[in-house]
Amino acid sequence: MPFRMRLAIAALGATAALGSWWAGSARAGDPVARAEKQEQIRRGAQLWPSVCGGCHNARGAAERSAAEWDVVVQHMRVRANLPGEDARAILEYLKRR
Amino acid sequence: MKGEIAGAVAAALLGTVAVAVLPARVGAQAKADGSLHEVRRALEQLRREREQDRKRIEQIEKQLEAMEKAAAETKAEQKEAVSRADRLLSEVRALRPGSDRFLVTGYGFARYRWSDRTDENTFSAALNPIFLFRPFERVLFEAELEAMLPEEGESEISLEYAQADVELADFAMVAAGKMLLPFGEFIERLHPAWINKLVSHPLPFREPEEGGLLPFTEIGAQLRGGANLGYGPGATLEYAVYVANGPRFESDEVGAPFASNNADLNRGKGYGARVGVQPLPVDSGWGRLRLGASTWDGLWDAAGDHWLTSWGIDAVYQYDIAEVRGEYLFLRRDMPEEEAADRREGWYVQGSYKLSRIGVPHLDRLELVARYSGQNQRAAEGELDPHPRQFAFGVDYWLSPAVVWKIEYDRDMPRDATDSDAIQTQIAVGF
Repeated sequence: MPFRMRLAIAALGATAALGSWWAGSARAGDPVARAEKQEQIRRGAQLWPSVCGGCHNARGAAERSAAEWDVVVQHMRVRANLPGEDARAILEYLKRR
Repeated sequence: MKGEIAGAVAAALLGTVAVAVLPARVGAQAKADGSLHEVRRALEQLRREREQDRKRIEQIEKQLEAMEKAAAETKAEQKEAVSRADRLLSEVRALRPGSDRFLVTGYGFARYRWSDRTDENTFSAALNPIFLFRPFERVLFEAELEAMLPEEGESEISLEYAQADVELADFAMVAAGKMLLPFGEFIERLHPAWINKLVSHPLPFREPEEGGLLPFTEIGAQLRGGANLGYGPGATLEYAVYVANGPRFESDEVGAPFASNNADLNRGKGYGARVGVQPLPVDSGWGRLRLGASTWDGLWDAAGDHWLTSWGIDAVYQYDIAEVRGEYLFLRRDMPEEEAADRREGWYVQGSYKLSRIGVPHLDRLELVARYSGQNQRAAEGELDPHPRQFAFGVDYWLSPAVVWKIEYDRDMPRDATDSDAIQTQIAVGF
């Protein structure tokens, strides 16, 4: 087998192994990502009634679609000077509720 | 001979004893053998029963294992079904009207007002659509139109605000355009009819032509945002700093109301800032407290020689279903030709309490509101009073979180004029 072909096969093998490792890492990271998302939603649930209710009655999640909440929360973030982290938590909560 | 006799007797005795004892021994032995056999049989029986029990336990264990496996499979299926339902729900929500780029929201109201002082007895209505357009994730354009019914004529449409917002970081945004004045809380956050708990505005926050002390909008650019203080969720610091066209008045007279400064009348600019803090985390159990301080300053005359300076403080405390809020503001307008400064001040305190815990249908939708507001100034234009005072009492019936029917009674008690009454009612809808 020519050297170049062996080199190409070795490179392909290394790429496959690396890809497999990366995919495995990503899968292993899923529970962490899920836990972080859950924590974000929990924080959003805490903030939603108090932060939104600071000026007006907090509106129900079912009033708008997930896509609409994207826009509304950005609008309210400007109006209420919400920190980005809090706005994202409230948005996730409203989308998942 | 004696010996033989003795031997015979002894043998006889022995024989007698043997005859007497041996059968008993043999019987005892047989009895013992029988008991042993019984014990062995019992033991064998027990062993068999134990073996049967063991087999039964094994069988039950297998059944239990199968049941546990089936339960685990059912649980997994349930989890998958819930997950699938969530995904479907998200997809259904995503199919509702609206996209992640453009949305129309806003509010509208219908009102009836009777006022002894202004001799009013009229219905009115307004619609304030707010257009939100989000071309990119970090950019939002927002604009509010106000369609009102003037005293005469069909309708009047004005641009309430129109601004572009760009997110720079988690704690910083830039907004530019015609923007609501970031001074205190009422103007930026509380004035929409479905949010304001009373039909009327507090006296210092009426529209300028109605005697209010501040314009509602400025044209300029601002840097604003908020940051977590780091010791609990909801404990935050917020700020807004801005440069704008600045103040402009209807005339050079003392007490003249503010006018629009769409094209800056001088080369000077207006500058302002607001800082606010919410020191209590949402999980502290102590309610919510928000404190703020604002300032707005600028050259107000065409020549650019005279300053308007202003400052204000605002506070709100909310605990469960009760709320108290208030604001104070002070303005000083330097006047030409060494005339005394045009000083103006205003304030309001408002308390509200929801009856949501009363447990009586319909009554649990009510909210009681009371407000005291006033202002002082050297002079006021037209028929406006320079020292108005007002008590306002209201009852709100919340049909939904954003639909409210309000009834309000006002008692006007100006310092230099007679008292008067006003009654108004309004249905306001946020959408």
